[in-house]
This record gives sequence, structure tokens and C-alpha cells, in this order.
Amino acid sequence: MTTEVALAVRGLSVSYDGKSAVADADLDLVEGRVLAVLGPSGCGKSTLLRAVAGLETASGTVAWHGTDLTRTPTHKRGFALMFQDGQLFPQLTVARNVGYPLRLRRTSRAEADARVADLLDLVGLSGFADRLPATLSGGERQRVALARALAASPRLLLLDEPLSALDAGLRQRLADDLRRILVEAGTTAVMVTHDHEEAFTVADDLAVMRAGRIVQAGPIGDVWQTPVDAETALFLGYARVLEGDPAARLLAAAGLAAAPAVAVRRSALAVAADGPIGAEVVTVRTTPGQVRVVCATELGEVDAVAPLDLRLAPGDGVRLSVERTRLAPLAAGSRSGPPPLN
Amino acid sequence: MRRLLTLAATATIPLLVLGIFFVIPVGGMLREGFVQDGHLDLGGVAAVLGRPEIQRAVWFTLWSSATGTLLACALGLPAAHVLHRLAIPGRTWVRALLVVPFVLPTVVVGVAFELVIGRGGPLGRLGLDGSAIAIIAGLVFFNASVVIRVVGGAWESLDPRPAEAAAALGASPWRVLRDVTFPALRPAIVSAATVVFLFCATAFGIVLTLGGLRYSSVETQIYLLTTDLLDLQAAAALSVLQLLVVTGLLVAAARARRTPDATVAHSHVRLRRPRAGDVPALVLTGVLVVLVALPLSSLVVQSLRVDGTWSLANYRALQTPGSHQALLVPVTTALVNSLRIAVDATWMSLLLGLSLAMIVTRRSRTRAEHRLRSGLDGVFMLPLGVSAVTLGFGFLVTLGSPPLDLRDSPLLIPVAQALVALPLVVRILVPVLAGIDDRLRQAAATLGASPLRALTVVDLPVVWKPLLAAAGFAFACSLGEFGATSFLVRDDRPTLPVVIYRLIGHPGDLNYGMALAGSVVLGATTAVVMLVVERLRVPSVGTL
Repeated sequence: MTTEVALAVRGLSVSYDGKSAVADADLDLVEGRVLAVLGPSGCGKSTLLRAVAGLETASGTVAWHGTDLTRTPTHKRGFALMFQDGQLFPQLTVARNVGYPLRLRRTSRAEADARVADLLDLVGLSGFADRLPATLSGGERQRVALARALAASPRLLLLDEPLSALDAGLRQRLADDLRRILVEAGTTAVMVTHDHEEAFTVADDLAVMRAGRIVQAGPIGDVWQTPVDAETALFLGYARVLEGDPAARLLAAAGLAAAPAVAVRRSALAVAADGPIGAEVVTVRTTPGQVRVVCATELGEVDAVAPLDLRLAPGDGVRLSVERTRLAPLAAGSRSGPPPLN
Repeated sequence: MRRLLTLAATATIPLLVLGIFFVIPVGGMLREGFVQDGHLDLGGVAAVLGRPEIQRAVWFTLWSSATGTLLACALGLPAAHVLHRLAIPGRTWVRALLVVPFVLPTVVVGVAFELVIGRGGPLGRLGLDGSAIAIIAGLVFFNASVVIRVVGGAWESLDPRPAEAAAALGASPWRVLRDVTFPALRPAIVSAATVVFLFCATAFGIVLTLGGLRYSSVETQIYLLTTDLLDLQAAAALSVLQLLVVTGLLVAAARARRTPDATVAHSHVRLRRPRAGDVPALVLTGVLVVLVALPLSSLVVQSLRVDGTWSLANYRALQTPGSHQALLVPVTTALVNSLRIAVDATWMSLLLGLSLAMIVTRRSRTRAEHRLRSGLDGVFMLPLGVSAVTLGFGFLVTLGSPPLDLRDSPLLIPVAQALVALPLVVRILVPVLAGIDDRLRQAAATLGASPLRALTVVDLPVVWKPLLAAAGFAFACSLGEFGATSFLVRDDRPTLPVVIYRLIGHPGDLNYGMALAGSVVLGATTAVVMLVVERLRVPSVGTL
């Protein structure tokens, strides 16, 4: 695998009627890796993806291996975009939908048929070749859309919330499949999503986007461990952010260097007889894997977990231990100024 | 900016056509009315509107149109329910029968009604000949089909679940109708009623043939003032009045349409068996069927009767120019002329309509672009707001002399008819094109399809049927067009509707018999075209 940057986006901005949707976005992606752009709905991440595909009027540059594609029309970029709702051609069968990009390239009939069969196999839809899109379930449609996008042999695959139209169980399964398919095909891809679980399942790299700006980018583990600010930490799935004195006490209890704020995962604090922090149980909720409690402590209210066999009730006095790898010290609290650009 | 320029470039040809063949003629007509001896004469216009016969025409137009609209809705709404929600035998045939009047040439309808209510007709004793009741019956005959089409389409695809929810909460069928169904259908009903009022107020052939000497509407007044009395100032003043009123109505119709209509969304509702509560609706539908079938069957029967016996003599006589020098050419020649003109008018209106529909429906990226697109949409609906008679009159005064001397061009009448049909074509195509998700085209583009290739895989499969339907519709409209054509036609190259009108006006049994036979031929031709269009099942046909 090369480490040369394949996709380079510089200073990309999109605005509608003077209202900025994407502001000054930079992205780098190495060949063969999958980048997830994570952000809440309406943050401009889909617009960013569409601008990379050439579907939006944008300023800034989009380059592929050093070749500027800014003036190249969409159909000549070689970037396939998979839409949130598939956008299959309704009058064509599954096989003809998947084979459409091959027909555009005048691939020979036999070769095209074989490739379509391979792709349908890859997405787990062999035997669906002659069905019409209207007869498919949502998950099946998305699989066809993925196969069709892969059939274009895109240099870069763009995925716009590929799983968000599906229900939760199916989403998790398809996210696993998607990861497998992308890795097997060695595809370079950018996926847009608002779901951090999905991002962790599918992607190698992560870019967090907020209000039209990319606030943090890097390998997914790095971003996860060192969120750039409180809002990012909460969006990445941290349960709480403590600031000031409580933050200092918690960091001290964990044996970490002092910081203005600290993001805390739900499982960072655990009920343990020998823990350094005294607490009183406020609420108790049992989940299949563990007991989740909210405790009042000298740090204020915090979340903690307990083993399932521990019978706890509100008002009980307990002690909490700290798992330092589940804390993320932050350079500033939530009331700090605008997020820094990287 | 580049997008705006591309948009302007694509709009150039349609705009040019509209400029030459619509703005100049109508502008010329306005100048004719408002400018006297080189200066603006508003007093003269006011004086025209004060004349008693003009006021009578305006008043008659208003109340006959209002009554016609009310009755068309009263008969059309139950029929829409019966034909689009109930499983009754022969439903498709009744539907087809009730759609036929919509495209029947007005002249044919006039002749057919005359047969039913005139002396010797089955209803001759009622003395309705030349009465306002006859005119209004004619208007209802024509326009009930509009109500059935527009409202029936919406009713058919109406989500039945809210009504079921209301029934489950204890609402009686009548309450369900009042509280749930009607509010959901209101946009369609308002839209249909507006369009029907529009058609009633600009009806020309019907009033001219059924109104006799007693009644004239604004539209026929314009015709009489122009051709018989040569009072161009009064004609122009009336045309302006009509233009204003009709444009206002169109704006109202557009407002009503803005609420999401059900013509695009498809939800397949299973038809149910008729119940006791459906009897009133069934009876009213029966009344409508009689109203439509009686004149049509009378027309066919009478065309086959000569001197009290069955005969094809009237049809054979179509190869002659009639008796008493009624015509300069045989009727068959006029039929061929009509067909040729209709072919030309059809491709013209299709070409214009398709490019317009594409311009109007492409998604706008900026507010300026959006404004430009909806502005264009409005501009090209204008021919609907200007009556055919006004358009024909405008052609006459501006395109008949240099620098634009097109009086003898064989394309003049097709252009006028294409403009008359244009709004209908655009209205068939726009919902279809607007229903295509722009992202489907984008999906094709990201897979490597050029814009042209994307068109063939995304737009073409959806649009070919509506395009064919629009072609048939434009063809049928053009075949029956009478208002504009009657101004522009030359006596040695007449169209069939003009010939029929002339034959009625000439004495002699043979001439009258030929008019009946010609009406049957013309009506049958348009009906066949329309039945083919109907088989294409395009929901937006005949809606505005």
C-alpha cells in the first residue's frame, strides 16, 4: 500500500445565495483508505461530498494524485457517488442497474455479465439479477447501489449516508459488510455519516465536521482518543465533559497531568470497593451488559458502571475507580471560543 | 453565473417564438384599441365598456360561467367518486365516454346540442333552442370531464388511511366525507373549478352556435365586433378586460396548485363495491352520462338520416363543396387541410413545450435562478390567459402586413394552434419531469454518464409516454381549434371546423346534412386520438 496522498481537497467552500454551507475545507486521503466525515445533520458534510463529486458549484480545489479536477465535469472525474436512498434506475433490473457503468464504458457483453455476477455475489445478492428495484427491500436496494457504484471501478467511491435510511439492526450488519467489501475491493472511499458507530465500523480515518467546517481530522483512533474540544468529544460518544476544579480532581485521581477540561466515557468510572472517589448513587439502570449508575460526588454528578451482580439502590454509598485510558484531557472547556481550524 | 447564461441560452428560442407570435400580435391588438390617431385614448375605452350591449355580454359571461362551473362540479364530483373509487361494471367505458367531450371541437358540440333541443329534436318541445339553459348545458357537457379528470385523479391516489382513522373514531360516512376527504381534495377541486370557469368564460364555439342572436359572451362579442362591425377599438378594449380577468384566475389557479397535489404521487387504492349510500352519486353520474350521450348519439343518428330514411348520402356529399356555393372546396379537402395543420401544430407545440418543461423543472441553485425559472413558467402560461379569438385577431392585425407579412404562410395557422395547445402540453410534461429526482441524473453522472447519456437513462424512460400523450392531446386540440383559426383561415384553404360552421350558416338540407356528417367525422377522429391518449394512462393529461 502506498502512502502517497491520493485525494487532496484544499480550501473547498460552497455557499447558497451567500449562505455558507461548507467553509474552507481541507481533506487528505491516502490510496486504499476509507475516510469517514462525521457530523450532525445539516453541518454541510453531504454538500462537501457532492462538491468533491463535482455536483456543487464550489471554490477551492479538488485534486487526484496532483491532477486538478476542479474544472472536470462530474461524469469525467471517475468518482462514483452512492446516494443515501440508492437512486437506482427504476425501469432497469438489478443486473442492468449494476451493469450500467459497464455499458457506458462499452465493456463486452460477456465480460460485463461476469463482472455483474461477481459484484452481486460480493454484496450478497446473487439470484436477484432479474428483479426490479421496486420489489427490493431498503437494505437490498442499498446493496445494489453499492454494487453499481463499484461497477464503475471508481478511483474514489463517495458514500453519502449509505446506511442511514435503514433500521438499526440492519444498519450494523450492513456496516460490517460494507467494511469487508471496501477492504476486499481495495477501494479508496469517503463516507459521510452522522453515526459515530458506523464511522468506527467502516473507516480508517475520521474528519469531524461542524457548522460547515472541518474541526478535526486524522486516523480514527487518534481522533477518538484526543478530541479537539468538548463538543467534538460529546459528538464522538463521550458521556460528559468536566471542567475546572472537578476536571482537575478527576485527572489527579487518574494520575494524569492537569488540563482545563476532561471528556469522560461512561465506562471511565466503575464502582469498586477500593476506588479513590467517594460517591452516592442517584439513579440505577440495568442494561444487558452492565449496570449503569449516576452518582453524586465531590466532582458533581458523574456516570459510572457496575457489574451486573452488584445490587445497588438510590442512596447507597459507593466508591468509584478511574480508568485513565477512557478519559480525554481537553485543551479548553465548552465555553471556549470558536473551534480551532486544523 | 455560467448556469444563468446557459439557462438564458436554452430559453432563447422559445422566448423568440413567443415574442414574435404572441407578444407582437397581442401588443398590436392592444395598440389598436388604446391608441387612436397617434395618442392614448383611455376615454374611448371607458366609453366602450359603458355600452349596454357590452355590459350585457360581460354580465352574461360572468353568470353563465359561474352557473356552468357550479353544475359541472355538482355532476363531476359524484362522477369522479363513482368512476375512480367504486368497482362498477363498464367503468373504463363510461370514463372514456365522459372524457370525449373535452376534446370535441366546440362546433361539433354546438351542432349536436342544436339537434337535441332544436325543432324536431327529442327535447324540442321544451323550447330551449337559443336559450341560456342550452348554452349552460353545453358548457357543463364540455367541462364536467375536466372536473372528473382533475379531481378523480387526486381522489384515486388519495391515502385512504386518514378516512379509515376517522371512521374508526366513530365518524359516519358523511362526516368522513366532510371532515377528511373534502379537505384533502380541496386543492384539486379549487384547481378544477378555476380551470372550468376559465374554459366557460372563454368558450367561443358553444356560445356562437347555441347562443343565436339573443346571447353573446365577451368572447363572441370580440368576434362580432372584429369581423362584422369592424369596431376594432371596442374589440381591443374587451380583449384587455378578458386578459386581466383570465390572468387573475390563472394566478389563483397556480396558488391552489401550489399545495401538493396528488397527481404525481401514486398510492394504489382498491376499488370498493357500491353501497346504498352511493345511490345519489350513481344517479348524478347517470344524469351526466345521458347529458353526454344524448347529443352525441343524436348527431350520429341524424347524420345517417336523409328524407326520413337511412342513408350515407350526407357522407358521400362530403366529397362535394355543398349546395348554394356554400364552400370553395370539398369537405374532404378541408379534412386533409385540418390533418396537415394539426401535424405541424403538434410538432411545434411539442418542441416548445418540451424545452420549456425542461427549463422550468430543472432544480435551481440560487434564488435568482429560481425566480428566473418560475418567471419563464408564468410567461409561457400566458397564451392560456389570452383567448384564442384575441390571439387570432392579434395575428390578423400584426402579422398580415410588412415587416412580418405571414398572412400567406402555410405555417401561420399551425403556429397559432400550437400556441393555444402549448400550455396544455407544458402542464402534461411539467409534473412528469418535476417528479424525476434530480439526484437520479446525478447518480448517472457519477457513474460516468455524460449529460446526454443521463437523459436517455433517467428522463427518457419516464417521459416518452407523457410525450406521446401530449402529442395526441395537442393534435386533438389543433383538429378542433376554431377561435383563432376562424380569423386566419383562407376561404380556399379552410379547416374542417370552419367548414362545418360555414355549412350550418348556409341554407339547404344538403348543407346541413353535410355539417352533421362532417361533425361526426371530426368528432370521431378527435375521439379516437383521445382514446389512444387515454390508454397511455398519463395522470396529468387534461389538468392545468
